[in-house]
Amino acid sequence: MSKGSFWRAAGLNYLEYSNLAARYLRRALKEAPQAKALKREEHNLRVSLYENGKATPAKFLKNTQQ
Amino acid sequence: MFSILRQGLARAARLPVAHARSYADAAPAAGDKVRLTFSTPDGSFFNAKAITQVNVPATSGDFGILVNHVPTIACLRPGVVTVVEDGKESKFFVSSGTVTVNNDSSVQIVAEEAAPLDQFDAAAAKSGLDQATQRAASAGNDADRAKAEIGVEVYRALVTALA
Repeated sequence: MSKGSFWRAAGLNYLEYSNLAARYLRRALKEAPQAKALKREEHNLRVSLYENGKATPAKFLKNTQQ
Repeated sequence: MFSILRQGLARAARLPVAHARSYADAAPAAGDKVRLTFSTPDGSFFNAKAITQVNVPATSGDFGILVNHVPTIACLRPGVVTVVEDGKESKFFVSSGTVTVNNDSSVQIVAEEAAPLDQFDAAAAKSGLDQATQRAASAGNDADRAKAEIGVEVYRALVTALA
């Protein structure tokens, strides 16, 4: 690991660097591979809270990036 | 039971220490090929495939791996991975990740994002570079500037690779 990384100096770690680099890279792909690659960024979440021992109706959170 | 254990330990202590491979030793027989595994979270391009050489872009500098390379581990930076097999070259662009070179000449490249070089759009890389440069110049704080500069790094490497 190079000691003088500008991103490390700004408080980012390698995982954040890697994640961002991947996001930038996907946006330079040609159309067909890009459509496929962008799907990998999506993180969908189904949240259902339990109240008094019963599940509340599930909430679907689409594409939660952070 | 403990006395047996103690005897065993005492015997082990007297045995000559088995050294790990040092620079002067011959590498274990690995044939004359590198065995490459090159993958992303989405799939793999090579799976333990026998190849001649692979060149990787690392944060510590670019390097080429031939058979019997000294064991190494490095972080990848945005750049071109070149795989040479039977005199034919294939090029991929990787965002980031790790490369591991083992004692038996097996190599693992794990990239967060990677694609064959011909799947990238040169015009998109150029406009991406312009946008990222602009955002880096107008960023209000260090973190935002660094985030934009990562884009500059990615797209600059990509523009160079596609030129």
